[in-house]
Amino acid sequence: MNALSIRNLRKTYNNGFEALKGINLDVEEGDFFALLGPNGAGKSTAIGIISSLINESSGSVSIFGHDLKTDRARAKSCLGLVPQEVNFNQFDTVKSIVFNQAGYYGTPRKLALQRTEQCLKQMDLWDKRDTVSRRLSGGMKRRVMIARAMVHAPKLLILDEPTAGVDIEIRRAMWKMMQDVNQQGTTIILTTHYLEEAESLCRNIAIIDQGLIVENTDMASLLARLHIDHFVLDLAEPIAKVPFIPGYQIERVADKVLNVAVPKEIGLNQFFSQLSAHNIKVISLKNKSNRLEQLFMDLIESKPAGAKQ
Amino acid sequence: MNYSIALRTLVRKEVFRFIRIWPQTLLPPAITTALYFLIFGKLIGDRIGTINGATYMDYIVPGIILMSVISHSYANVVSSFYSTKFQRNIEELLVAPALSGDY
Repeated sequence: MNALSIRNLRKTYNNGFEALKGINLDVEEGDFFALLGPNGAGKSTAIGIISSLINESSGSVSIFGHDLKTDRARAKSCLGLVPQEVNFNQFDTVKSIVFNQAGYYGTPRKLALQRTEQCLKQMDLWDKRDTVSRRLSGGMKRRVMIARAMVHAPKLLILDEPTAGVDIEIRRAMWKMMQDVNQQGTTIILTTHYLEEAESLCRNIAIIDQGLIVENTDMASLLARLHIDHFVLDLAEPIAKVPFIPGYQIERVADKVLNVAVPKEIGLNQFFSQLSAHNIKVISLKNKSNRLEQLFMDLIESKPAGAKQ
Repeated sequence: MNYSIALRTLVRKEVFRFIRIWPQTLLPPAITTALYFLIFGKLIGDRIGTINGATYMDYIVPGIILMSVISHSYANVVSSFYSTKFQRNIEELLVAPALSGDY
């Protein structure tokens, strides 16, 4: 069964702006799905419609087979949402925020207390349960929102840029947490601007641009499309002139730094043997940019109106 | 899914909120009501005297208490909803199956 099924979804705002131009999307149960796109592409509108915060203009959304129009309560109870911005009451305590959310979803009091404790412990917030939420740090506030979204044990968890503005340590802890939640059987849809995050966590990916889905595939086949890898080389000795090595595009960035574009079919071996022949010693090598980032830019730039619906 | 649990949660949350911020919710109406009693009931009432055995204070007490209760019950709902919308935590309710239209 599909965790999420979107058919021909359109949204036109009152000012005439068409945020979604008829998107179709299926997310399988148990998937870790990335929804990417530049700012203003329609990601948040799509998530708003799925989570009943925005009314669609036309089209249908069903969550675990429950249509959002005809079977709204069941559809809503399958879904947990972690929004982009902090939206809990800043004057409430951490525990009451999570506990009340369980109540809104109809969880009986005893079970709600158990689930609240479980979620807060999982998010490493149990010590902070009686703290007023406005006194929490940014990372903790995000974790409160995740605990709140998970307290009713949703089958589908949507995280809208959960790691925006948090430090690298917390981000990695959140990745681990998301992977654990996914392994326990919860389907996750993640939107993010950190493409490294999407690349390492997600199995399938959809890219939205200007209200249309321009790509919808699995991560491995998307990455396989990248033909050229870019590397940065740190050299032991400064070089005056860029060496000519056929098949590779080399650019001198600084005295001791080279950028090189390596076609995948040729590989790196030949390049290094040629460098040795030129008597150039390489100290270290790193990827110039994230692989997915390259693909993302290619897709967004090459298909401004190309629709794969 | 139980609509009544959601309703109970909401009522409990609002009552706790009301009690927690009592200096804002209970104290001001108590002061204004006391001032009404002093100015209208005592100072003006003393000059009016009794009518058919009832003082002016006896006449205005139920009305002023009810006026305070009713106006502050509206004011509390409005301020609660305003802050809920302003902080956007109304979304907590909107995403949950807690609205009458959901069933």
